[in-house]
This record gives sequence, C-alpha cells and structure tokens, in this order.
Amino acid sequence: MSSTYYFAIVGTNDSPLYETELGVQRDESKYLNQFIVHAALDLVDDAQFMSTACYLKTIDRYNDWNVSAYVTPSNTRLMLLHETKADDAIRLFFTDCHELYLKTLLNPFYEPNTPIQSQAFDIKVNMLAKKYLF
Amino acid sequence: MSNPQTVTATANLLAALSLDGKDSAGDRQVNGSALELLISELVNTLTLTTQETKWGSETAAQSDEPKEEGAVEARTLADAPKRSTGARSSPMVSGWQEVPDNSELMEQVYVKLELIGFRIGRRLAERFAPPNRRLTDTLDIVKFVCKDIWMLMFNRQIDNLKTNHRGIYVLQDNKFKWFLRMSGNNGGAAAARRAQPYIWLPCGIIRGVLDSYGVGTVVIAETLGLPQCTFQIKVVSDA
Repeated sequence: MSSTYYFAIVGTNDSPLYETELGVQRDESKYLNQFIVHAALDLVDDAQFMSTACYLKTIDRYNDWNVSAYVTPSNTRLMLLHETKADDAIRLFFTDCHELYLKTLLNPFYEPNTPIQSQAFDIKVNMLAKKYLF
Repeated sequence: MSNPQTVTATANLLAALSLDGKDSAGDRQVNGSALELLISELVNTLTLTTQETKWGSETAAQSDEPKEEGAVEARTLADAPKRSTGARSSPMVSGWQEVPDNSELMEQVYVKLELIGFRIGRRLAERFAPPNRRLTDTLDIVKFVCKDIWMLMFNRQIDNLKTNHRGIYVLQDNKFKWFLRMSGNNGGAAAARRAQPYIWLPCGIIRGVLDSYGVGTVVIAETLGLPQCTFQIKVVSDA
C-alpha cells in the first residue's frame, strides 16, 4: 500500500511556512504538489466563510489527489494532499499539528509567518503522520 | 539588560502557565502574582534601560575614562538641558522616585511596551482561541477579548463594553487588577498619570489579539481614577 501525503502549512500571506512529503513518493509529483495546494487556497478562502469550524474537510480534487484543509484562528492554513479518504484520522492529524504549531508560536524567537525550520518540529510531524495516516 | 525577546518569553510563559486547567503542557503552575510582579518590574526596567541605551551610548563615545565616571560626568554636562532633573544620577541610584518627565524617553518606552504586548497578544489569541470555532465578526472578537483574555490575565471580565457599531469600542474596567496595589502620595490625577506606563502593555495585548484575527486597530488607554481604566479600540482597516 503506497499511500503518499503532502502536508503544508501556509501562512497568511499565502507563502508556505512548512512543507513535507510523507510516505513513498513518486517522482513526477514533487512540483505538482505545490501547484495543487496553491490553487486550492482560493477554495479554502471560500469554504472558510461557509462554516465556523476549523476543520474544512475535502475542499478540492485534482485527478487522484484530494486536498483537505484546516484553518487556525489566526488564518494559518494547514493543507494535506492525500489519495485515500480518511476524514477522522485526518482531523486528528490536523488537530495535533495545530498544537505543534501553537508550541512553535509560543517560542518568542519565532516570528509568526516565517518559515519553520526547527528539526524537532519536523520529527514530530513525521511521528504524527506515522500515528494517524499510516 | 532585558531585551524584548527575553521579556516576551517570560511574559508568555507566565501567561500560558498561570491558569488552571487549560494547560496541555504538563500541568505546571505558576503563582499568578508572579505576573503582577513581572509587570511592575518590566516597566521600570524598560525605562531604565531605554534611558541607559539612549543617553549612555551618546556619552560613552565621548570619553575614554572608565564608563561610570565618564558617563555620569558627560551626561550632566552634555545632556543637562535635554533632561529633566529627575534623571540626573546614574540609573542604579535613582530607582523609581523621580518620574522622568522626559516625554521622549517615555515615548520610546511606550513603543517598546506596546510592541511587547502586541507580540504577546498575537500568541495569546492563537493559543486560547475557542477550540473548533472561528470568530468572524469583529464584535465577537472584542467580546472574546473582554471575556476570555481578561479572564486569563486578570481573573475577571471587563465591566463595561460600549460600541458605536462603526468601529469604535470602549472597554471599561473599574477595578483593574494591576492598579489595585498602586497608590500615590496625593492620589488622584498625579497617581493616574504615573500609572500610565502600566496600561500600555495591555493596549498592545489587545491590539495583538485583534491583529491576529486580521483586524487592524489603534488602542488607546486612559485612566481617570486609579483602579479604573478605559481602553478605546478604533478599527483602522476596512474589514
């Protein structure tokens, strides 16, 4: 079962703060992932005003890929590209990633809306992905 | 020397830990009075360090003598016309007896305090936002400030909220927690004026919370009698 995921955190000015590929990757999709997520940002904006929940489920589809989004109160978007449908697991993954993001924010040396470069963050995201998505 | 990041770190830590039951980071708790003590020291330290860096650095370049003597001497000579009598001695001695009337100094302190509050506010908003529900209406956000943020920081809510529904909100707190332990010799207007720096930090915090929701604002605070203070929020952006 080769399930692959692409996870990105997008800041308020639409630039990515963190990106990672989880699982086995196919070569041709590396650049495509960024394009798909970027295009889906508009749909996130639309869906955002439809509901007041943080987790907006699957908002877009591109060929085989589904795009799911989660919007934090300060309008930072967590986006996940996935092939399989797993709403609950993805929601839990997003919630835990949100908590990780909060911990990053609490670091006074981290300026919001700048790329997250901490290795610890990277390791923890991978652990969460292993826990919920695989 | 305190720098804004260390100060923000401590303030963040205290703000995040000094509440019961909402802590997901292992239930460590800090005595709430630590925040009050921090704040009173914060204002004082920032004033002194701003004074030192602004006037200390100008005079340090002028003399080769040991810093203390040179600094004090050069300061009295070169800066006497600029400074009020209150700031004549070295910072270690003056303490807080003389309130610097130097408005330029206080303006710098205002900018720093407000900026620190802004950074804290942004993080507070994200950390303590109501879970799984996003606030869209500006009035809702202001109510969130009045109820949740005030409850977190001061363990009580804002007493009175007024709005003209066109972008101006007035928040009135009749027993502002940080003022409860302050008293001036003559009371009244003089004490209120000296208490001004202590409400600049909450101004910044309110502005930070609103900014994190995308609402650009200008927040002004004033106090008429000591335990009472009023914050006026003016929405600047067209959202």
